[in-house]
Amino acid sequence: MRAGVGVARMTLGRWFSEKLLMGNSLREYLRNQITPFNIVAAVILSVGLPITWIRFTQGLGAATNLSDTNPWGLWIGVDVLSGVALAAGGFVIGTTVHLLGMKKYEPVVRPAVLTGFLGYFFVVVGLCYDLGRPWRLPYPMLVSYGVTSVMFLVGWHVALYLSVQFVEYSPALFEWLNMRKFREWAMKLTIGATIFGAILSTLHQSALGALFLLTPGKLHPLWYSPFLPVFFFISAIAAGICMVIFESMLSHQVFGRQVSQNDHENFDEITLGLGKAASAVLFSYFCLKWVGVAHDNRWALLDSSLGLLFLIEVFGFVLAPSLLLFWATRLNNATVVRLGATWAVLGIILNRVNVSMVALNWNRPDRYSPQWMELAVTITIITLGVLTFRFIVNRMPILYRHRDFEY
Amino acid sequence: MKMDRRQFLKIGTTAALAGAASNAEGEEYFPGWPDRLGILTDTTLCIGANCRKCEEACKKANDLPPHTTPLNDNSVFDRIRRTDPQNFTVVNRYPDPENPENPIYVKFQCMHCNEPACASACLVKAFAKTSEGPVIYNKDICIGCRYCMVACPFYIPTYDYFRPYDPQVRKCTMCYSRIKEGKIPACAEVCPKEAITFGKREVLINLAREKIRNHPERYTPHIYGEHEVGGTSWLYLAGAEFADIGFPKDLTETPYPALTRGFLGAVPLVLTIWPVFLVGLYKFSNRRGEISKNVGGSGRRGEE
Amino acid sequence: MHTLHDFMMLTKGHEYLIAVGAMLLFTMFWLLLDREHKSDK
Repeated sequence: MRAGVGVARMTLGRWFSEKLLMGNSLREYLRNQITPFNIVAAVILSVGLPITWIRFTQGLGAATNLSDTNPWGLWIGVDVLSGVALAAGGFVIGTTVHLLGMKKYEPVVRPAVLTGFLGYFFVVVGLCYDLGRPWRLPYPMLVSYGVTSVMFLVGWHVALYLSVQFVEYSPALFEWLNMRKFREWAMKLTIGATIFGAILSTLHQSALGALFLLTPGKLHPLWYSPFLPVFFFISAIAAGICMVIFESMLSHQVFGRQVSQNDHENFDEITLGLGKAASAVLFSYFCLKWVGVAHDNRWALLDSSLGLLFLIEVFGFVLAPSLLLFWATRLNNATVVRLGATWAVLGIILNRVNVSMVALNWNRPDRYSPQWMELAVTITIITLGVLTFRFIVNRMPILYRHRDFEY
Repeated sequence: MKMDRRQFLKIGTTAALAGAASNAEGEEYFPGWPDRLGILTDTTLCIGANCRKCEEACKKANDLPPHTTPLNDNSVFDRIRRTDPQNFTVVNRYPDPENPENPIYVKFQCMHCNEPACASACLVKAFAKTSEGPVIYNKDICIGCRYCMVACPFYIPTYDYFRPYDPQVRKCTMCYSRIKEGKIPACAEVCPKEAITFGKREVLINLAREKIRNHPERYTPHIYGEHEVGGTSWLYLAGAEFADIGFPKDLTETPYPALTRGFLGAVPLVLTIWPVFLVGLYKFSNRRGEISKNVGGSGRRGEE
Repeated sequence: MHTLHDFMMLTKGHEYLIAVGAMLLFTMFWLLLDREHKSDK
């Protein structure tokens, strides 16, 4: 007999076993957990947790190399800036499928939305490590409104967007919990949530770039531009598409059993389509960067060591993957598309790191480089994100359609 | 830029309607509180070595730990220092190329800008420009994001990185609490050479101009802080080029809030236009799907 | 309003209110009009 409204009719023990332990007894489940991946994850967490303790009981200075001249470091550059850019897949695919009507990509909507939701969630986790008083995180929402601040926008939009992504993800959650009414309600909200999500994403992806508009003397002129918001927004779209390609590649390998025959057959076609889109967006972003250089007449600066870094970033990690993706789609080679997408993802991370850590304060004697504990925390957060993703995909209809529901 | 001109008109109309005391033509630079106070530091009078009484007075006035080395230990000048949570002001030494015997000493601290970058950047309004002039900090709402530190072009704010439970952003307050009591800032009171003068900014600017006029051989004809980043409450006179004695080189007269005005102006536009645009997109793509369903009846919605 | 910053504190609040109001109104109108249109069919 199937549980009707949800949890009420089952005993707690059976629900626990069926839903959380995937049908195993506790002993079986725990024995199944001893895998190489889990051992590595456990090691990572065993390092990350004591560092967390240090960070919160002894202060930021004990766990980071942050200084008064360099108040932002790895946790901002990677955990927050790169994390938000890479989580953009949720809004891009959502818009593609629900607003542009391209139903071909429907199979990747739920994984993309999940990546987006978890991405933003763990960005907030990372932010809580970095804030001096993370317990005051709700202050810009509830206590005092600094409306002249771009950061104010970022705070509001990430909070709102997290809620919107949760709504978009929730049908899968409610299907798992067999809560029909909630699921129907969540499905009805999908279009509205997608539209609102697209608006919020436009604004906060560009706002992260706009943060650096206040650093004209500190950010190297090849990266400082009035177009920073546009650069961040466009590159986030490319990052989102490429992350979907990357994540779907991993998901099909690890969770292949869940995927329907139909979806398996269409998978390469989806990858190729996404690759084409990514190629186009990356190319446009490449050109935009040069518009920025021309706008402020910075050509002469290319002849310097940071100029070389700029060229490497733009030619080696934007144009090159763009061309590779284009070539791969011409040859219908999904594997090379995946390679190109991974390359582009690294390029976006490189850009965020350059803007926030390398090109920022480039001319100061007191430069910043992260200490090992910062890296350990970043890796810990990524690991937690991956574990959560795995937990959800193993139990909820993300990669397949639940047979009891209409889509 | 088009955006700013439109903003100009908006400013003008609103200001006129609100009856505020601003130029009806719509200036982008507001005159600021007319009676605001400021400080003039005449670096040609500062002796620096064997003194640093201003640093000591500042520490006392702000309940900061005292110096760990004696004040006449001049080896501190061997490196360029910056402010930190225990030192809201520092005096640095710079060689004078024209006068190697007599180096120039410059006291650095918060510039108390008319249009502070920190106040513009703060997402919870923890920094505010008071009508008296000083820029002050509210520790009860600061969340510790440190964006103010990223924004400040003078690299002044410092952070309590080693206080886990009540870290604060620290900087000179121009002794705001003392000013409220009718006293003058500690550094201005204690300076034995009267290099630090406290008063109304307007008066100080006239004083500085007079000094330059009366002793053109002594001073560079520039009052630092008069117009930089829209003007600051802390002003400087010097006998050398300011770029050679530790002042930021490429600051324009643009006040920092103006740098993000364009982007922030676009936000409500996106909020207003995007919904219409995206709903339109949705309707359009849906209708195409319906048409193809009716015509082809193949069951394949949309296309590649 | 004595500084650009003060001015922006005032105007930004207004701008956001108007924009959010426009979004809400638009959403309401769309949902209302859409429902009527469907029932007309």
